[in-house]
Amino acid sequence: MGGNKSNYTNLRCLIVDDFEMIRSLIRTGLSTLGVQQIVEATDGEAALQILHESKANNNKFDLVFSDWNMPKMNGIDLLVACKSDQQLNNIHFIMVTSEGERQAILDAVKNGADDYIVKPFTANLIQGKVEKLMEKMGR
Amino acid sequence: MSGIVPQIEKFRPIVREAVQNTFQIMFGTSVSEVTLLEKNLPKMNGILGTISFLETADVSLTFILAFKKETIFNVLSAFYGRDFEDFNDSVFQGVGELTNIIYGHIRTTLNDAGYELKMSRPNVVFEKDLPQQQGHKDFLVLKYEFKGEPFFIYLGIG
Repeated sequence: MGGNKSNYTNLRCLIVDDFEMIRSLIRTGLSTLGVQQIVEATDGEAALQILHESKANNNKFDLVFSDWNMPKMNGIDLLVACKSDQQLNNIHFIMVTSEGERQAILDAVKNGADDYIVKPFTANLIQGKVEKLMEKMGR
Repeated sequence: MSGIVPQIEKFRPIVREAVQNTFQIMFGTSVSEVTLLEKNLPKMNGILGTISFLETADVSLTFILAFKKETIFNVLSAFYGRDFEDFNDSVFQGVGELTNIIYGHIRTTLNDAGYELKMSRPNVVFEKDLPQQQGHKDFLVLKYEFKGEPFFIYLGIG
């Protein structure tokens, strides 16, 4: 499953991080897998707006990579907002955090995040996480 | 927190591990700790990411990741695959994120050892705009090299 790029062509992913370096790293990992539909946001507030617009356009996202510590709206608030919205609560979440926020990210998993990644990480790790999640999703 | 002040040298292996781990994973590049300096940060016309991670009435602790201009441009060129010639937003963000990641690693190690250091967002400034750091009575300055270009870690306690 994991090695076939065509499996990922229709996967819609939203990357939420205030740092370009991290967004670029995640995008590289997704692109290597064959993911073509990638949108980026720099904070939780902008991400939530994009998610609401996608809902209105009936073009919802499958997967969100979200940083924990961001301006305006942090990652846990974005996660909770989505999980409390009936039309967004089936979007999968992978939380991204620094080593120093490890305990907080475990709380995010309790709140419905599918997985988490601790910085620093490689593009290969992104691929592995998505492949694992896709298997879990049965796609 | 009084235990930290006289034992700043014990931070050295923790800092080294955090720096080397970050550069190896993110850039696929080994960086080496060159020297332990016996004075404050050298003047270098550079850019710095700073985190003040504990402030009480009695003590403040400051973490600084400092790059010469040429060093941070080389670091970011290695990551993005394009040349950097100006201090643009990508450079500021890159310094901030590296500061965040390295400090996060240090914080976890120290908190696992019983400290309670807080996490905060890094402030990225030009060297000339660095808030007054000379008041720290104890400090540790470590010099590293990325492909032959120097960068520095400063831990100040005062």
